[in-house]
Amino acid sequence: MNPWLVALLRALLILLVMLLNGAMAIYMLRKVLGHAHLRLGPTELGPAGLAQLLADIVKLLVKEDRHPNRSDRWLYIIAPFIVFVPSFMTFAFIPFSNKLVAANPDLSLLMMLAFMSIPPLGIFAAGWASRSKFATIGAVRAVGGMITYEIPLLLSALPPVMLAGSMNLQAIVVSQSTSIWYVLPCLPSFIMFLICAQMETSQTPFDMTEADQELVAGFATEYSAMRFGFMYLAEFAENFVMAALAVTLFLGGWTLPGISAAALGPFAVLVFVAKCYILIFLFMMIRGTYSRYRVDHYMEVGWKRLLPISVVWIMVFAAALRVIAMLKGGA
Amino acid sequence: MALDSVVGENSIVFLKSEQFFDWARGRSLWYMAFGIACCSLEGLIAAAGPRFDFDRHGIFYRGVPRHSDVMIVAGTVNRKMAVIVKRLYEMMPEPRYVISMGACANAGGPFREYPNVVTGVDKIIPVDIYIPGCPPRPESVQYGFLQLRKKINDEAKARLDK
Amino acid sequence: MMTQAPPRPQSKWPFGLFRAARIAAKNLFRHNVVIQYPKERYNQPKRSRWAVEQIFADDGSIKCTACKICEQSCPDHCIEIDVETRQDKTKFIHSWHYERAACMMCGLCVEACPFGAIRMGHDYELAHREPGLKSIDLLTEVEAAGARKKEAEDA
Repeated sequence: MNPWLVALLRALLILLVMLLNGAMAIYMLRKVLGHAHLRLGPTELGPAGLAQLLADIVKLLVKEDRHPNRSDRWLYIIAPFIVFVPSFMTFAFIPFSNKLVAANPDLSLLMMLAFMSIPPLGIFAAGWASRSKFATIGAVRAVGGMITYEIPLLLSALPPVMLAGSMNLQAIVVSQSTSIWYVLPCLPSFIMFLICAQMETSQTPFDMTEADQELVAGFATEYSAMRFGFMYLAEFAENFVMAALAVTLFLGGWTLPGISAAALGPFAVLVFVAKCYILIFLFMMIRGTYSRYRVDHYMEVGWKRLLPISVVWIMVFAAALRVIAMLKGGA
Repeated sequence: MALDSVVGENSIVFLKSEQFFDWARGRSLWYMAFGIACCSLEGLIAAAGPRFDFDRHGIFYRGVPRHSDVMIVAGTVNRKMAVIVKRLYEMMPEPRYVISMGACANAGGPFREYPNVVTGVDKIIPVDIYIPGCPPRPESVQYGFLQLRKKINDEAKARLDK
Repeated sequence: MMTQAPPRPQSKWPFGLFRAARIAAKNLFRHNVVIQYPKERYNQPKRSRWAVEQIFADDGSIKCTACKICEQSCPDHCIEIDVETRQDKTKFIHSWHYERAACMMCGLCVEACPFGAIRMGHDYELAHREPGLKSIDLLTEVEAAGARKKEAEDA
């Protein structure tokens, strides 16, 4: 077949996955937060409130689109796309099963992490283009936090690469099926990855970007209707991407211990998605439990505590690997 | 979504689609809580809390006027606050609704004879639903929202009958 | 004087985080406390106060004698009674006007009424669309119940 057609079909399939996942994640968020608060989430529409999302999306689509008079028109329109498109692009590198991965270059982990550092730029553009006090403050805090926590994120993704010997995500998953899941030897990396993921997706306890009581929705203050819906969807997409990356690097991807890839067959996708949603559930529970960090507190935690810890851990880990290799080679 | 400019205002496509959109608008009302005084605790915070859950009906709290459909004015409106109420009302995108909650927002309440109080928020902005009470129970506010939903659907049906 | 336990000393380990996690995990398995409004109603206490209502006897007669004590005792001047006293000292109520939207439901009028003609209602579903319903007439064009007629009957 024509390679352009194949690429286009893959892109459309990824878009469908992203939208379905966004819908599922938003519904799950309202229900999980509701039950954590001892109340119910949406229950009126549809069975157990499933059609509530349809009503929300239709309403957002037909609402009037207002923009502030003095805003920077071009940047205001483009900013949601800068946030949305890189999150959408990272879906292409996630290995859903043995054969289901849209793009599989040799350095897929590096490319994925590179694409994930573009949304903070879009958030800053959104806040700046709105030209309002709350938006600018929210944008500055968001960008500050996100670039701070990107460094421990990258550094904590390195120990699995050291164990697997390659930066290709599919290769990391396959090497986890032969040895144990990497969460056990690299447990501190896993915990740090979860903390940084919580920050990258702007969830409590790190949601300074949209602290309702303080910043009135931060960078998205001047966005109405579907532009706001776009950024909302991008946030949930990034949620899934972070969970997928954590599952791929640490929790064995689409493999189960003891069952070979051929035996799993088409169920590998289900295994992968189930693991991702368990992690997303964990993110949402953390979101509903802990209170928000102050700006200077989380900047301090990011620079003064997480960064040295991650650097020291990599050195210790690499030294330990070398020592084990020497012992095995020697003995 | 300027469907009426494409097919004309009286065509059945536009009217039926508007009915569907009004169904969606009635089912997912996001409110901007403009809680000025005591009514805000009862009808905005308690009604959204665990005991009387607003989220079951799809009603959700957004702090920003630009993201919300309904503005609940809860509490006494002074003359200083009236300027801000008007400004926030104009910041809300169409279609927008206003619910006036409590005795003070309806008609000045217990403070009607003071020189500083605006006797009723409908002197400033057009109000859709009035909820009497001082303060109204959270179920009263939920009943008010159900009335608002009925009003939206009735308007859609009236347009269709015309 | 209430005695309380001394505050825990702040430790440098994040024990608070683990305590919060335990509480959250326990709460996940608790039943929800929601009163689902249109399907379940909350049992109000007997003396809960909502809008003022006239008490009608079984045959539709009222007890209000238009003495205007409730009008004087209302702190917000929400009640306005338009009454006409005829030649033979009987009263005819043209309108018993009640500004329901401004009423703060304190119950002073019910306490002050010597004849027990009004009571605080129990209906809290009072939301309305039309601004005309902000002030309503509870009685229009009826004969006031006569205190003197009652004495004449007893005598």
